[in-house]
Amino acid sequence: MRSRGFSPDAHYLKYVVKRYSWLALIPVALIGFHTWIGNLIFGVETASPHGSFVGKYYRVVDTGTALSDTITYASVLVGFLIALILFSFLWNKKENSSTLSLGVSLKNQFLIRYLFGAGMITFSYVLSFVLSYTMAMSKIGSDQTGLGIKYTVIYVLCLTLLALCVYTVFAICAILSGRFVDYLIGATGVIVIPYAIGQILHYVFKNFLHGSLLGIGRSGLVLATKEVLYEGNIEHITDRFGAFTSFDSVFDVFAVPLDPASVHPEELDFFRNAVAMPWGTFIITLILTAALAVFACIAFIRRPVEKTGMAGICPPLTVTASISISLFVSSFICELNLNRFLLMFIFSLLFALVFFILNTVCTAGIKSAFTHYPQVLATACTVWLCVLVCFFGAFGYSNYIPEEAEIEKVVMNYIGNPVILRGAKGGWETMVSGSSQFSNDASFTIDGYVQGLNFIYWWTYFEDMPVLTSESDISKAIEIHKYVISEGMKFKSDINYREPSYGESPFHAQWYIVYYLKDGSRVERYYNYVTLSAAERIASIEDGDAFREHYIENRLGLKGANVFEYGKTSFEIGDEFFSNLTALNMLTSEENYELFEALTRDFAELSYEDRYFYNGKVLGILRFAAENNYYTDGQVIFGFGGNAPEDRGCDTWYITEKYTRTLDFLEKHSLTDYFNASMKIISVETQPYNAYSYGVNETGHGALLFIQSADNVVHTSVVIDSDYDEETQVLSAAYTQIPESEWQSYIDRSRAIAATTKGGIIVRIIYKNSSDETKIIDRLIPNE
Amino acid sequence: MIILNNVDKSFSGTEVLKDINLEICDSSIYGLVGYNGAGKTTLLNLIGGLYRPDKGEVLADIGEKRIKTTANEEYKRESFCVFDDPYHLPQATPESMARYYRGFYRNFSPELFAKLCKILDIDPEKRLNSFSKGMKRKSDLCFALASKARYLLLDESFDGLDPGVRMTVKDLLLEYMADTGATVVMASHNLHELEGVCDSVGLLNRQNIVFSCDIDDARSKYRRYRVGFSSEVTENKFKNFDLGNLKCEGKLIGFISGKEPETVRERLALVGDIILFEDHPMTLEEIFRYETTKGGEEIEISGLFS
Repeated sequence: MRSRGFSPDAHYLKYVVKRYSWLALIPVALIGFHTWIGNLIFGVETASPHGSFVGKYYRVVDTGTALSDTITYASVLVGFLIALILFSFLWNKKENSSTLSLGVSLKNQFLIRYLFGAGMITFSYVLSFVLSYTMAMSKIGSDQTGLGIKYTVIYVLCLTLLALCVYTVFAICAILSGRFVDYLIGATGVIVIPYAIGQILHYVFKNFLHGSLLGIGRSGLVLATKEVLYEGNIEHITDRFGAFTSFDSVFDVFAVPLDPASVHPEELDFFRNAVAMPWGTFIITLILTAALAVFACIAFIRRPVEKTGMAGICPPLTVTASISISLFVSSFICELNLNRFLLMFIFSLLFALVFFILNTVCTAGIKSAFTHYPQVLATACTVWLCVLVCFFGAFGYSNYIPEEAEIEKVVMNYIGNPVILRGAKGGWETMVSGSSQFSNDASFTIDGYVQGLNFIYWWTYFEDMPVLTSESDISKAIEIHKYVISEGMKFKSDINYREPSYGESPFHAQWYIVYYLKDGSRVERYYNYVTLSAAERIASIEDGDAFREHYIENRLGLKGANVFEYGKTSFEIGDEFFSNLTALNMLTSEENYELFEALTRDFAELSYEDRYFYNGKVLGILRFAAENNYYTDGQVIFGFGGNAPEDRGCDTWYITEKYTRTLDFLEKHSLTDYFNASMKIISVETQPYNAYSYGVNETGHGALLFIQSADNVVHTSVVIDSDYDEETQVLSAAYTQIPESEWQSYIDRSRAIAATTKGGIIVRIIYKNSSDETKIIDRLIPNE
Repeated sequence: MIILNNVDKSFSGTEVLKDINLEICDSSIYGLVGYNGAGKTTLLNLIGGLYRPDKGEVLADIGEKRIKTTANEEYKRESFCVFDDPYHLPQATPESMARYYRGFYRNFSPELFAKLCKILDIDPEKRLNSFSKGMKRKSDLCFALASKARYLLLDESFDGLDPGVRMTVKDLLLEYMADTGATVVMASHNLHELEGVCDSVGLLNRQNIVFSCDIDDARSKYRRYRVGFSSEVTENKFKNFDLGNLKCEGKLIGFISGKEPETVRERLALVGDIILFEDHPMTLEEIFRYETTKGGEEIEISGLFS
């Protein structure tokens, strides 16, 4: 009998599979773009790989974060599209009635559709990564260490779960919507609202209250779902995997852990131990996804058929979406170059506009929207009131500093691209903004003028900063905080790069401070713009034992952690200006480490004035570098932390008489002679520069100003003077010749590494090196 | 049997149906008539188990059980809804749609479907989206009849059909009901469509079923009368007589009454000498019009355009 095998549920499943199986193409196409398809295209474009579109694309996504962001957005898009297609029948009266009149329970209809979509996502993600892995293996050989498969499995699991979670949320949006436009608003709201809430908290607290409810360590604005999955180890994995998926990096980076012959054993061990499945977050996300799926099922079963075609999103969502969208947009606009007054103004306008538009859409008519004007006014007034309260410091919240007696410990951090303090010990690589001008003959362009707090000393991640527990450190932190508050709230619009009173003007830098109180609570404050004067005071905290010990522990701890393989590193030595650096190949591994330790301890013991404002003569340069050039191009070598030397591959140290241990070591090994270079000076010229010396790039961050001078040498410069042509970026002022009798004086004065809060002069030294080549060196001498 | 007990339904605060009580017998064809927007489709969707009643319940007999129809897959496997604006799968042909429905209706007969296609002149291999409205309607009726469902719910199913096909469909429905013992509920605003096919009919007006009965009973119950008296009469004399649509013209009166002619004659004789007494059966349309305007003012349109 035909009815024996009668199963409407199975038939419905068959129908869904038949009708929607093409959906697999969506995630495959999107994810494939990042992996094997992209790699394939990239491989074909051999003529100018880095100039090609795909090449450029991979340049952009080469860093793991960017790639994981891209894939996260792709996952969001996949979830959006699949939920849209599978559940759009709910918005079509004919199809909805017809489908729901079938003899399949609503629960089963939901489950079949939902699980089919989930299956498509899972299948597509797994497939694309399997293909990607297979391709990588075919290029590399074999996965000898097993790390490749480990990365892949972890990555596939986490990313698939993320995609499923997002897809479930969108399915809920589709079920709760009566029309496509409502789904669009709802889904956009789901995407925007967590992001916008982050923005609201971030900007309101940052711009008005000097705090961040998100927590200082996590003040970055990322999707909440991403935040859940990408914290901890998985973030690290994505970095590595990001490189893995990029064709040009397969050999450079991913091959490293795959080929034990060319990898540091310590590195391999490190990755073996560090790379782990984040089970905690994975399980939480899994539970969240399951709970959302149950909710979606209930919503589907209870969904009134007559909702189809009906307009309407719940009013709280409309209000929240309006606030979120308008604040997000206005904050974004204001972040470019405006201040808080404009922020309020723009926000007010945008809020009314967005709310009105959403209301019009949601109520399916302008007339209906107009009838909601009391709601609009009431909401607007509430929002504006909140902004005003924040604007005036939220009843003292903004300027609150806990009592010293209440404080158990303090942690502070300083991040940004500030002006003059960074890299006191050298830091040429930051001076040239990543594109090194460090040529073989060691002729620096304008260097020696340090900018910003030492980024070795001030860790990128807040969690890595030293904890200040001593009474003196805590008092000093409070004093710094008080000073920052006394300067008043600063905004980007307050920045004036030609400000004569150099120290009084703020610049784009971020200072965070967290007080851990004895009662277990925390007070967090965040200052986006601080003045140079404040930065100097912030630097003074380095003089405490906590910072010193933390620095030494981190630097020297590398050996203990078996991460720093000093045997494969080298030191180079030379005059500051005029000679090539000479590799100290005669040193043994142990001596290398001894020198490294001496440098570390010397630097740690310097006072902050000696680090950042040392006006004495620089004796010469020591450059600590990895032995293999492969590692000196700024690639991650040991992939540890983000602030240790392995991050850059080399450090340049300006050795002064304060580096006693280092000098002792050098003298003991008769190496100080390398500091004395011979050269033939041809001329010395000068020209003035203004105190405020760095420009602002398009992203709003402080950036070095590049000046194309007449000899076509690109100078990274702290130079602005009256003759600087902003349009052509050419410094047209002529150099003034210095009489020969004064050359040595100028040269000696220019051998300082001091930062400056004043203007000064550029000293251009033209000389012939040992190969009789004419060379130019630009240095700065700050005004007294 | 389908039973509606005190069913209310409203949309966005607008009450569409209120306190509906209705019983539809097994093996019958029930006609649901009402003005445009009276709530026929809503009522049909409630019977079909698609809409949830705000209040009350809709029950149907499935096997030995009496179950609620709302979102009940067991009931839906035994009922087939032909919507006013039916849905077809993209790029579907009648044949492929038949295959689709075959999986959802245990008794769906492909052979019967083929025969029905032949009778109604449907090409089963042609794309449905290329069909005219009438052809689509015929196809849907083929699916419905081939499903052999116990409950057929048809919403304006004769729309777009030519008179010849209507007669055929009516015959098919009668045959279907007779052969399968199915219950058919047909919603329509066209009373002519229901005449000759429905066993009973319900009039939906002002959110409620104002009139529900067997068609033959209704026809025999309501009659139009024309009575002549020996002298002139006025309407006042008939105040207590419960006569519908009463019109007086000198010695003549016209009205509608649901009472037996003998009873009417006896009562009217009390007013005066009857010299003329005529009674005529009413059409369903007249009954519908009478019932829906009962208690209200009759629309006066004479002289509207003069």
